[in-house]
Parts: sequence; structure tokens; C-alpha cells
Amino acid sequence: MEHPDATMPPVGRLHHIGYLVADITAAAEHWQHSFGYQVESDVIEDPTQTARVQFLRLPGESHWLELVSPDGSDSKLQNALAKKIRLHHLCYEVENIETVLKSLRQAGLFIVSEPVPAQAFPGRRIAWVMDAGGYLFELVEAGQPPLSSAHLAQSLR
Amino acid sequence: MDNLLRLQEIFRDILDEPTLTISEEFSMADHEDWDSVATVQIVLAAENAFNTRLPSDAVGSIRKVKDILEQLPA
Repeated sequence: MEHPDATMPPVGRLHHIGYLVADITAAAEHWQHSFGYQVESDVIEDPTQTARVQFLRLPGESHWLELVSPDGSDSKLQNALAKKIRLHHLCYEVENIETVLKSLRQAGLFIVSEPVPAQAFPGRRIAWVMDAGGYLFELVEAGQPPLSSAHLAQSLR
Repeated sequence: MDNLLRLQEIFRDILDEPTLTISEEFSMADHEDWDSVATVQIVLAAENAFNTRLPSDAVGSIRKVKDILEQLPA
């Protein structure tokens, strides 16, 4: 099926689903033992996002589950955690982040954060947008490897 | 309807309070549900209602109704 507006650049593929937790270690164990996810990265500290993150994936699946937790009491994620928001965001991989941001802004979404370097994806940038319903979306520049090899879990090195 | 009343309708919808009355000095501190997410929802709804786009850097400094009104067309 063709995109309804051929002038709209595609957002690319779903890269990960961000799931907000208070305790990444406990959550990772839960997703492994309850649903069969495999841990695919170490816990990554990202001071810019005031967050710690860890990537898990179902065997054979193409996108990740990103466990996200605040990195301290001043984290900008604390408010969402207090409101018991768990499904936090969807992240799409895009070829040209500026073009997609411009397109999404024209489509009526709000740019929460302009592109900045990402701790989890060295050499690539991420940006954040929100829609009128208050749902949060992350954009990550396309690139390889899909996750930083520096952050691959010990078991995968 | 003046801009404040039009904005009041948006606040009532986003904050889910049908009888809410706002003034220019109404601030985030005056309503526990007016957080940063609600600010973006209010801004997007206002952009749609007033057929305009607010600059991102101005949105980041919104704390009061007055801060939004100053960004809207007269």
C-alpha cells in the first residue's frame, strides 16, 4: 500500500519500544523470565536524557524493547514514572532526521527535542516529538550497527 | 470570542475540567494536571484552533496562560 502522501518521507522502521521502569535490573529479569526476551545491551547511562536504558529483544524479532529508568531524583522521567506511565514511547529509525522532523511538525506534531548525539547509538543522533494526544515518539538516525557494539551485553561479545 | 475564552475551551478539554475558568495569570502551579505533556497538548490544540505555529523555544518557557496568549495572533 502506498503512503497516503507521497511527499511525506517515511519514518523508516520501528527500532524500539520504550518501556519506563523504576528498576532496570528487576524489569530485565521480569521480561526475560516472563516473556522470553534476551538482554542485548549493558545498562547505558545517558546524562543528556537523564536516563539509564537497556535493550532486550525477542529471538528473531527485528525491534527492541528499551527499558528506561530515571538516572536520579532530578530526572525528567520522574514525573511520568510517578504517573505510572509505562509504555513511554515508540522509536523510529529514519534516514534524514531533519527532513522527518520538518514533515512531522507540518503534520501537527510538536518537536520536544531537536537532534542530539545519542549515548546508546554513537555517531547517530536522536530527537523527540509529541502528538496532540500526548504520545511521545523518538527518532534515531539510521546507521550500523543497530546498537553500539560498545554496549553489547557481555554474553554477546 | 476573544483569545482567552478560546484558550479556556482548550484548557477545559485538555485538563478534563469542563467548568475550569482561567485568567492570564493562571499558571502550572494552579492545576496539578498542567504538566509539560499537557503544555504540549495545549500548544498543539491552540496551533490548530488559531491556525498558527508557535516557536519551540517559546513553548519551553510557558508557565502561565499569558505566555501562550503572547504567542497567538491578536
